[in-house]
Amino acid sequence: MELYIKNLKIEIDKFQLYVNDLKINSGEYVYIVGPTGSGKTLLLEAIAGFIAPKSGKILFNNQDISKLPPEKRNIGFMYQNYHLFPHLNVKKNIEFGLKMKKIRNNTFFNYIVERLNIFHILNREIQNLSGGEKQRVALARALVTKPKILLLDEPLSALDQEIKGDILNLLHKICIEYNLICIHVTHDKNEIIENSRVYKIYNGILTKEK
Amino acid sequence: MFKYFIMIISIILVLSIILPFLTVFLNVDYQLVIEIAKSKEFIDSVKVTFFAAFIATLIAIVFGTPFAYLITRYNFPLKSVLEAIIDIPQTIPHTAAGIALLLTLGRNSIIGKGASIFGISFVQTFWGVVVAMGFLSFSIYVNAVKEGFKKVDIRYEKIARSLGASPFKSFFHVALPMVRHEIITGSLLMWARGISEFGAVAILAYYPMTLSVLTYDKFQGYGLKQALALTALIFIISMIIFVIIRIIQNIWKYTESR
Repeated sequence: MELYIKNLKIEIDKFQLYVNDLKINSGEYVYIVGPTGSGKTLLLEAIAGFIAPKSGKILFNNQDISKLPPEKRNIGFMYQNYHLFPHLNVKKNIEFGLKMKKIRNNTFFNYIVERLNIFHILNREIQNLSGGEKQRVALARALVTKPKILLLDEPLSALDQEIKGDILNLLHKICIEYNLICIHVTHDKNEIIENSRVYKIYNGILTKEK
Repeated sequence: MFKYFIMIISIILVLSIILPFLTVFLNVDYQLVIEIAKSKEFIDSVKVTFFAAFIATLIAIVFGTPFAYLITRYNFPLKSVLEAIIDIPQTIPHTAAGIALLLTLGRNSIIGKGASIFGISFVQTFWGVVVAMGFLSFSIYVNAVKEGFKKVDIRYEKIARSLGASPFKSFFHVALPMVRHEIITGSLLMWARGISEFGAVAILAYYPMTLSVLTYDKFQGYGLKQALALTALIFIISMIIFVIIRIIQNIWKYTESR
């Protein structure tokens, strides 16, 4: 499976973002770096379908998904602050996507919960979780509906330095394990694991860094 | 020094609110209060007032919640004009609003004639009371819920969409539960404001009598003594309502701070 972004142009007010050519295959973990306000989140939101591009195409397995609404794209998304629904407990947060998509798969739900080691906090309220726990719950919520693409917007920024490394390793493992297309945007180059493919956004243009 | 200065100003403010209440309770004939409280006329008017304000609030929830969401989440031409229109009834004299409603909904108006086909009339009826109360207090509900939606980060809804929720489901399962406190507070405030409405109600639907119209009627027909007893009863009811609202708000604050 392959995500291919071609001549994508996004315009919000006076800001413009341009992606000439970006191809990512399943199981690949790609970084996009750039300073705050450079348009990293905008690019992820365009891929997820939250904002409509002005022109260009987003192809998934050669199918143009740029006109599909977000709920039809099967893309997992994680923001910096996780945005766990505060009116639902941990279990209901994770089940949210299953409920919306009318999926009844308890086996996979249990597997993900065990895999991310959050079984013991399922009945907790969101307000009572630590940063690391919130991160895992948000990841479980994004993965439980079996997305093909996982978009991570500054996923480590809100975490303590000590657990950043563990979570980053977990994200890389999950990406390979579930054969996901993972895009991780960050302003912090220290988050990049060696030998990863890295792009940068500068002045609204995406270019390959290494 | 400054502290004492603002304390004195605050005391003057609080006294100016308490004083009329105290005057009423110091001068009222308590025997008459009990008599009026037991009268059919008073009980009927309490029922009409509370129920009409309740129906007006329900209508505001159905129409006002999507409107507040539209104003908060979308940009479109003339948006600020639309927002201002909702607030207009707050800025005009209520009697003037009553006259406007009478012309718009009266028996000879297009809406009045249309409604009469279904057996509904707005002049001197319960539905007239509902409309008059709703027209003048609708913006209280809308503004409360609008502030609620403004506080909800749109990214919650984006996440919901990525998890398979349609815009409808995202609204009902995410946005709406997250503004439930504002919906309830706005409803209570609108309901309480509806109860106190007089000007528009008196012009559009003097009958069936609401508490405010009944007080005016007693004052005009029977003089100050009767009106004073009724006023004391209304003060007691208002105080109970606001104590309940404050208790509910404090319970929320307590449960949320845990």
